[in-house]
Amino acid sequence: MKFVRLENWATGLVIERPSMQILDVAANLGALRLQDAAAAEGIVQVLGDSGTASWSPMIEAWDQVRDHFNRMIEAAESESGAFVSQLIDKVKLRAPLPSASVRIFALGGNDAEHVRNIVKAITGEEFPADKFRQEKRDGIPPWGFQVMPDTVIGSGALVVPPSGVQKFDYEGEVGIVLGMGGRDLKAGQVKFWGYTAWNDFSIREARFGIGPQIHRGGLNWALEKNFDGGNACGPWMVVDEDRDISRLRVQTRVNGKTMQDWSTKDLIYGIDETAALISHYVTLKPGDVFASGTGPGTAAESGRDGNRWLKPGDRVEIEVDGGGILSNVVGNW
Amino acid sequence: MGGQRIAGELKRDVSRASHGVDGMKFLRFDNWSTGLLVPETNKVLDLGRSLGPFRKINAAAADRISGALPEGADGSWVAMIDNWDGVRDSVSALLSALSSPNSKLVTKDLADITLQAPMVAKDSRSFLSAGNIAKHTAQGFKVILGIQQVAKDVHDDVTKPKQQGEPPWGFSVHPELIVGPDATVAPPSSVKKFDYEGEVCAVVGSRGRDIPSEKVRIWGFCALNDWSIRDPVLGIGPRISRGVLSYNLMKNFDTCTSIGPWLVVDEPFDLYNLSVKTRVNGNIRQDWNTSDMIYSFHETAAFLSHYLTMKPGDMIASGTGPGCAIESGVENGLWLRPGDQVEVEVEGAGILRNTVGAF
Repeated sequence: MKFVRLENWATGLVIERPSMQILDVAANLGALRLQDAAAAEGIVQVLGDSGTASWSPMIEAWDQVRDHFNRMIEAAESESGAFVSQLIDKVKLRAPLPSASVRIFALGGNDAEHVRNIVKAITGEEFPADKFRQEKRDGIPPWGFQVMPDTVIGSGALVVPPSGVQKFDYEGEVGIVLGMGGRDLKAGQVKFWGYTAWNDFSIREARFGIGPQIHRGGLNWALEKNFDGGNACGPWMVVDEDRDISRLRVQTRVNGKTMQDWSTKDLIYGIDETAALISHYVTLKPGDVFASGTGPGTAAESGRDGNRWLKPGDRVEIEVDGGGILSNVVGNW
Repeated sequence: MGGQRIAGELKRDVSRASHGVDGMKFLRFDNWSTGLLVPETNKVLDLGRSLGPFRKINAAAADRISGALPEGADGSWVAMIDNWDGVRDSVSALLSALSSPNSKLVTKDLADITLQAPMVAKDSRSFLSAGNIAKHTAQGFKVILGIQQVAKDVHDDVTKPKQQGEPPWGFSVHPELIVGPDATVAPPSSVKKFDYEGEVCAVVGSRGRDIPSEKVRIWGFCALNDWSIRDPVLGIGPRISRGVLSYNLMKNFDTCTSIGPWLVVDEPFDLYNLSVKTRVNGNIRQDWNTSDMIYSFHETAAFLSHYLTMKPGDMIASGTGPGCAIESGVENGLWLRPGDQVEVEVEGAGILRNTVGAF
């Protein structure tokens, strides 16, 4: 099942027959009610009448409501009723986030090859491949940063870094939505609901000692990641309960050329382990989002004067197994 | 976002703070509805329930207020702040209408109500400053780094970066973790060293990118307590952070920030000459002035606006002054314990009181 957010935050579903189309859930409740009143009522209970509500109640009640959404998709795909849908190319989609104020925790330095390459590019130091996994075995926790939800744009949106940025980078990732909540969770207990392709666009010059400093000190606003449009996800949120999110292939292409091609099986810290750490401090809830961290192949790894830095007009695509293609063009800055 | 009863002791502060000024104090009732402190009294005007009766007195002003609150009185204040110049006089007229006979406006006694954190919107962003008052920062570094005495150059180290053009720094708090006056706060159970940080929270009224600091508009201010887990910086217990970015979990846990009791709006206070006092069980621990801030609210907002569109409701906290528990070393009697009552009093903004719960 694939969920989207329409421009006004209404919830949509992707139907695949007879062609890829977007079904506005709230606008089709009447058609569903004629065929299956209980399913329509079940959807209203978790999504409200307009479909713009947070997905948290839906995710929390997923085992009870899953079939209602399946009914709507089947009925619409069979064209048996008065369902109205639009061709996917005709619809402007937002980032498919559970809500406009969703919490997002992004992981940093979570792929050994990416970290080794980037440290080498910045400092010239060579680390043994095992250094970062050894740190984990030594009890060192995962790390990362908070993403401001209103910095996240959807597929098709233009990404424009702040003026003056010199080294602008992509990071292909997977955004993963928590399926449950609580405090002091154990990694083994953590359940996920959905995933989407994610691009953690990054301002890099401060890392190479050029341009103005963005932050200092032991706490930070992570502004090299938290600028307007600094994160993209989409085009949809995939709910595929048979798929193992720890084995997803992630590819990044810039103007059609493959820059990153890696698998979430290479991640040092699992999303479940990171959620467990954070839940000692914060009560997590269904719908909280985690960005996985990226694999090797970012522009920064080719060095300060490498030829992979993003330029105005570049088209960046992130493709995740079963997740469609997240596509964004870099604007002028 | 819990809150409990505002204690009677606030009465003195209310009458003193509002004496002779024509501004207003916005607050959030327990159900998130909007209230206004009635000047010179201990009463709170229920804005949502007063608009109907007010419309009979001044229909145009009542319409302007309801037009500025499209989500209703229990919704966001963002549109009202965006249009503040067009709404301010109507809100003043609403407060003045209280004195007209048989106005039928709805008020409640402050002593009878519970307040929530006075946030502009439930998802308002917060940008808290770190290391922004030299004496606190130098004394904290001394303990964290194990330095025997605060040398003059440590103090210089704290203030020099700004002169060298380096940016302010700090962290954000997830809005759902912010609590209001009289809420119980507690760190996770494993924490050994729990600290207070009395601060001033300024609420941005501007919207935009690349705003010069002199153009930044601050809409209101209130007291803030930036409750802090100190174990990791003191090398106690498991590490919770490493690397160049951080989830800021020392400052991001359930109930980690309290603000309130209300936002002071449009009163003629100098944001950069406000006294900030922190008391624990009645004993003064912090007593400093916002004139000691290294980076001003305006400078921090201007810096952030290069990256992010600033918007009404964004909160910028001052950073704290000297007198936190950490500054007295790893072993001292000042660390917070369950049952402690902590008050942050900001000049003109009342007293933010919270109790430390079990941990």
